[in-house]
Amino acid sequence: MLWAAAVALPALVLGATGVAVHGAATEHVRYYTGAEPTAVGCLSCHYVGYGGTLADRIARPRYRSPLNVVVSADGRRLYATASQGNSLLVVDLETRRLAQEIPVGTKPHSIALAPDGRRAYVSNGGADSIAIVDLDAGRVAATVAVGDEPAGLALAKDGTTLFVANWFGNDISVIDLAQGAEVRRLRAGSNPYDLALAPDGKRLFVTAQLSYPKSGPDPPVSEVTVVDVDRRVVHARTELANAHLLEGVAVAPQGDLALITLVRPKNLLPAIQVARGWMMTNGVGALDLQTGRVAQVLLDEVNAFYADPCDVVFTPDGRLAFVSHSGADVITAIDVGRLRALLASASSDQLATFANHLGLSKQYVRARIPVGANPKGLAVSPDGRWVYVAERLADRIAVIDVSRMEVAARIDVGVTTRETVLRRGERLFNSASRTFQGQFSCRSCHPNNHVDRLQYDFEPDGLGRNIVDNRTLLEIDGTAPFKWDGKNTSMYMQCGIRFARFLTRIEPFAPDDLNALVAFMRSLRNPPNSHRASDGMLTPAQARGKALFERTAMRDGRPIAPKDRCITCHPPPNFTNRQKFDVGSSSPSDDKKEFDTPQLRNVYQSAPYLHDGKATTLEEIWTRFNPYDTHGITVDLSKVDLNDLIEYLKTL
Amino acid sequence: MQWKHRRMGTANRQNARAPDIRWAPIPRLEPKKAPTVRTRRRGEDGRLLDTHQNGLGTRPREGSIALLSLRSRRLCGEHFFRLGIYSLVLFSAAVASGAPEPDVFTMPPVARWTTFSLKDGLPSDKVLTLRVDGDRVWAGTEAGLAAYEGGRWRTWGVKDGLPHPVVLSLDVCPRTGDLWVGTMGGLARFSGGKFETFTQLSSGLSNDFVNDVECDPDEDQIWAATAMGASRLNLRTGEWTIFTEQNTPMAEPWTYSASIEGGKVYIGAWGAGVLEFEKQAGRWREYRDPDKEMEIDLLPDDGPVHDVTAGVDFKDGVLWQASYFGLARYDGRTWRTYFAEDSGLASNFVQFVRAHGRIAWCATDKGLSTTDGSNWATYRRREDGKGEITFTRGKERAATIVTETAMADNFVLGVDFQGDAVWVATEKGVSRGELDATMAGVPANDTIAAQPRGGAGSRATTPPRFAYAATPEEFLPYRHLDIYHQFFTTPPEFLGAGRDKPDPPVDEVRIGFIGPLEDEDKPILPPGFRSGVRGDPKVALFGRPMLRAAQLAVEDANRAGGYRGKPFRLVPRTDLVQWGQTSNELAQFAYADGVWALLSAVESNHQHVLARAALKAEVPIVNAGSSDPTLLEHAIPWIVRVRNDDRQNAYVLLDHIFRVRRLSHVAVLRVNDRDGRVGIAEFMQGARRLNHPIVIEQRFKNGDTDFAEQLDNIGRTNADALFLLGNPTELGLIVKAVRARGMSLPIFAFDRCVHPAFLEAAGPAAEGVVATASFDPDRDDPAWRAFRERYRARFGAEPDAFSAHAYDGTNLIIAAIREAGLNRARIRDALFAKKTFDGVTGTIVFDSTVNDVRKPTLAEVKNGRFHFFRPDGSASELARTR
Repeated sequence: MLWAAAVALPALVLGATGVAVHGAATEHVRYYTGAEPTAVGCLSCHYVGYGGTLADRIARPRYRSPLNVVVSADGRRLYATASQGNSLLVVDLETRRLAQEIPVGTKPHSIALAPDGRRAYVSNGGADSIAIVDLDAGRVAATVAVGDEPAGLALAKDGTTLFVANWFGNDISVIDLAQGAEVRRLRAGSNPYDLALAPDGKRLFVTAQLSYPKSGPDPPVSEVTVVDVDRRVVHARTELANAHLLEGVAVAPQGDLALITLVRPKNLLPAIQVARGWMMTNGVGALDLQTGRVAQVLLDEVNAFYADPCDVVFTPDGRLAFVSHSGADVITAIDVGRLRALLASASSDQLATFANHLGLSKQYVRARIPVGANPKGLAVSPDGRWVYVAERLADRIAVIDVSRMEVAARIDVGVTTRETVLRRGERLFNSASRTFQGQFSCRSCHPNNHVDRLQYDFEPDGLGRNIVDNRTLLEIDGTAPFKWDGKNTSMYMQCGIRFARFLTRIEPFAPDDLNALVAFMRSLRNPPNSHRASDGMLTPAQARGKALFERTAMRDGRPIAPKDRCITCHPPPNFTNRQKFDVGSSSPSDDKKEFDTPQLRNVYQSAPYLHDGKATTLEEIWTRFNPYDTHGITVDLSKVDLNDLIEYLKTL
Repeated sequence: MQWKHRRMGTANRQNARAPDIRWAPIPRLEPKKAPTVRTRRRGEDGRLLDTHQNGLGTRPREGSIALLSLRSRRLCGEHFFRLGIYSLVLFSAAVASGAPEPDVFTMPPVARWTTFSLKDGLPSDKVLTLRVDGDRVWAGTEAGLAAYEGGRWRTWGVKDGLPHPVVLSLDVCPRTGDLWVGTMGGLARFSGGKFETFTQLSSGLSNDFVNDVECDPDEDQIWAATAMGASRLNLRTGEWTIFTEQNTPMAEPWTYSASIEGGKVYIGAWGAGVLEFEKQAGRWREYRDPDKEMEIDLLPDDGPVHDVTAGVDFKDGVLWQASYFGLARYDGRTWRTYFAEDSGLASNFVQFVRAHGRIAWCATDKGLSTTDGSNWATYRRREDGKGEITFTRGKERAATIVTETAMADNFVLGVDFQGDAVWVATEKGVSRGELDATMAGVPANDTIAAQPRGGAGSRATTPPRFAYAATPEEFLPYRHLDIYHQFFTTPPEFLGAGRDKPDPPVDEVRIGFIGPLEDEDKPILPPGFRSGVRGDPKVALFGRPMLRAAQLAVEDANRAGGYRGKPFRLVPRTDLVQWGQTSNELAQFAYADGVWALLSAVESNHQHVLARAALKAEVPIVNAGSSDPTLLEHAIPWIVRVRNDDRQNAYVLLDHIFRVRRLSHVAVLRVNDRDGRVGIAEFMQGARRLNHPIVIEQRFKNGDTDFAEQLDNIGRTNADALFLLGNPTELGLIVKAVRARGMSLPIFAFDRCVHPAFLEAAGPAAEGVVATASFDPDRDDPAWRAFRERYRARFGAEPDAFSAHAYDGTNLIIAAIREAGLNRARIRDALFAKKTFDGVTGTIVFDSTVNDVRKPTLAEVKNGRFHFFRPDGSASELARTR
């Protein structure tokens, strides 16, 4: 009897405790995620390492994530940037094994090889620098400071000048390698990404990943910046209408054709278009460098889409071009001769129709080659026999046999094959497999996990109503609720069933996938803020702006009511109080007047502003869209004050 | 092309070993830092500002002059002090002038001209600015941007993304190759064939009227000189920094020009001389006209030729200042000043200066002058279409030669250099001139005997002193000295094009009105636009009555047939905005509204901005409300005034206070804004010249209601009179406070006091206050009576003085339009031809600047209302009764 009681009582206590904990946990999950607990495990939320803790280091293996690749002139070596390994990977192509790993800076992006093959130039996206790597010594010999988040780079033909696309700086650094310093900074399009030199070395083509800043219903227009290499000036700005995410660029060896990867979004048509297979189409821009004609052709098919075209290369004979689709895990081989012939025979009117023609690709697509997760950078061997593909989220380099149009080998450059929750979430985020016909991935609208600066018509409420600006995913952890109307209380709700019903038009994410996706999004952090000094000190203008941001009285001493102070609605750490307000920003086409207070971290990188993106610059929030002082009291500010305030906002 | 030295007679034989140089790479004089004096002064907002003054090219500031006068209490003290300063200047100049001067004659002349105009593909004949960019030449015109390359012109306009059709300034960034374009509607970067626009709404630019844009050759920074301060854009960080009177020694924020070289930025500020910014130290220094007087230049070579700077250029260590009163050169040691009368300068109206090496090219309204600082070559177009080059050595004309070709026009607005060619922007197109190295020596029959230059104002023929603005003898500045140069002796000329344009077909004839118009239904203005007066009575109470009167004049004119059967229509705009915004409004009047002329109102800062913008847009303005005495002291031939100013107010009131009332110690309490600052200047200087310097000057802000501190300070002095300057409501409150304290001293004021708002605010305390009045509304004048009755009937209110002047001003515009037709240049001519004009305020008498110099009357508050009396007759009677 006694022993029975001794067993039963603890069991009862444990059981009661278990029930209580489960109940509390259920409420906890419901409260914070809005999701049913069955879909959410504890680790879904609480296993989000940010890279600094011991537990994180143990639980989160190091991935290298090769991003871009180049092949040496003799075809014996392949170099790849390990974007998450902060290193340059050297692959022996004869043995097809990783031969060396050379540490470089943070977030290495692209590589350019010196003509003599003894030095490599690597852009360190997270360190705003270029690493000059001595390949013989296997170490970084020097670094050169450049602009904000350097990405693609290209070396002039004579090897004396390096051009660097500064992704967030919207400019191109021109580095004189003899001086070892940046000598010029040229204005590029929005978020320049990749560069390609014409075979004669006279012109450089730079893609702008995002479209020009705009507001209103105009379709996006993106730029290919053409640089005069000898004069080091911008020669021309070629516009590609209705297109964005211009990432890869390559010029045919014949020097007559440049191909640019692109996405054509239909962002201002209601999202119901997804069901019709027409929300986003993927293709290439073709610049005829002899006639100046600009064309766009699609790589999609009527019932099959190849999301997120990312890089493009030509074979040395110029007869084939390969495009990586990082959302579809496919490489498309293009018959360049057929494409040339098609474009040459087309009238201007016909060219205009090509941009939306889903049935055309079969004329010039030679093959679709499935590859591993998230293929990014491409390189061709000097003899044209092999195409190398950086399978970023598989930590491998795929080797495509051009003659057979299939993957002949895979070079493992990773540390582990284990896939963590975060890694899985990142893979899902970048995959278009969970959208109808694979039209787009999460990343298609959130390149770099950020924004595409477009406005979208999501709601099924008629054309042109309730247009909303895209919002960043960086550092959104702790900024719930989500959506501009604050309807979604958690990321689970945001990315769950409603998301599938309105946008992806396919089965919602399975619970484990949703867990992984949310965990990944919660882990996203902003890149370093280029307006904030490393020591945290503010410039005089920024300090004056901070005082304005935190002020409680007007210039003439009259107090400002708490609701009218900047700091009230935008308090640190994320500079949002997570509540909805009417700041007078609504338009007649909006059904609501109150909108979720956005966070302001790295706000300088997320133009346009306000819920519908009507303010193309920070200044316009107040100079154009605060006519009755409903979005903070600015009636007494001078233009000098406003400039100071904006300088401070750029540091947040 | 090899340059052969030209013989210029005996005068230039000393330069016979002329080198084979063309653009004169002359040995460089290293600028020597002049001794500086660091002073502190209090800005309009009351903050202390550091001022670094150059010992050679500056003057004692207003405050220190006043202090000096307090100490000396004698007029001769001022003169001896200033003479001492200038003697020191001249001595320093003599010591410093040891280096050999370069010679403009070492440069071959421009003898072959080719002209391009509308028919050659330019978008407009009126070309405001030029920039050479390698083989390409950019031209900024009134109708867009153009580029000449490969023998043809290519154009861009608003449809291509240009923010405004009128291009005011251009610069090619040496670090990026991009073209920066300053327009009347913002700043643009033209790069790779595309425009990227920056406006004051979309960016940190201070103002959309971009007079000049300059790219820093050493840093990725762009400077824009705008109508509301200078703006600097850091191209790497996107940071905008604004420089105005708030954070620099800039007395006025109307910036006109910028020049950057060798770590220094020079800003030409209209009314503030030249500002120098040392980039590394972040320090400002100002160079001002030392004599402090607008209408004279006391001594030659004493500093900037005038505070009104139209252009600056800093090249090879030499600073050139262009103004509408002559040219100045500063080499870091000494200043040199040049007038048309004592040099080879084509005209004192220098619109632009650009140096090539050490040679300056001056764009004037009478031709193009080049100088090395000593010698001159001036290019003109003769009436027969041939060109003329006049060579001047120092003050002596050396030779004149005639060329078969000539520039498009003598009204030159810009110049730039391309190899051996010079490009010139004029109002009749662009001209390209080529240096002619074959002209190796002037043929004997083309050489004329050296002869001295002569003309009004030159030292050789100094005329009797001209009493500008009907100034009584005792108030003339430096009246015991021999003044070197005197301005405003003749009406300003407009020598530009446009008079031959015929009347366009119109349905209505539009006249602009700009004044302080309140409209509570409108949203508040965005940051940076607000003047700070919105919502307060102050100047806003003058705006609506003026608009009503202007409307009445238009209705009267339309009843009388309008203009050739077409009705006049008034287009109103408000100036209840920050200073510089008025320039944007003028651009709208000129290019969007299509007004033929406009009537402007009260606040002086707006009037100055309007005048400067009108100079470029070429729109006539009639001012009917501002009493700023400096309003017309700038030689701009586009603005006239139909009311007397504070200079006349000061003369009358000073006479009344010191001679009639026999008072001697006046305290001043004035509003701390621009109207207050310029309004008090003549009063204080006049008091000093009458040997009764002001005992104390105190200030208050618009909107203040508590004046205890100022009145305490005044109470501690031996003041026996109080002079007030400000807007009616504040003046009324001050008078009330004065009497409440038991202070019984007599109170005087200028004419803004004569307003119902003053009487209402002051109450019974207003009794005995004496103020000037622009005219006597109680006089028996049928025209005045008729106007008053029509105004009452139309608007149900009593017209005030401001509305009466507005009625006269509108009628003056209507009369000018009827005389001249629908052509702004001819309307201007008609306005400037007026000597008198009969209005409801009496007969307006214009002086040489087309300013109303009628003597004001006086008014005293008796039994709660103003009683008007003539300063001469009844004033004496009044004094006897006391």
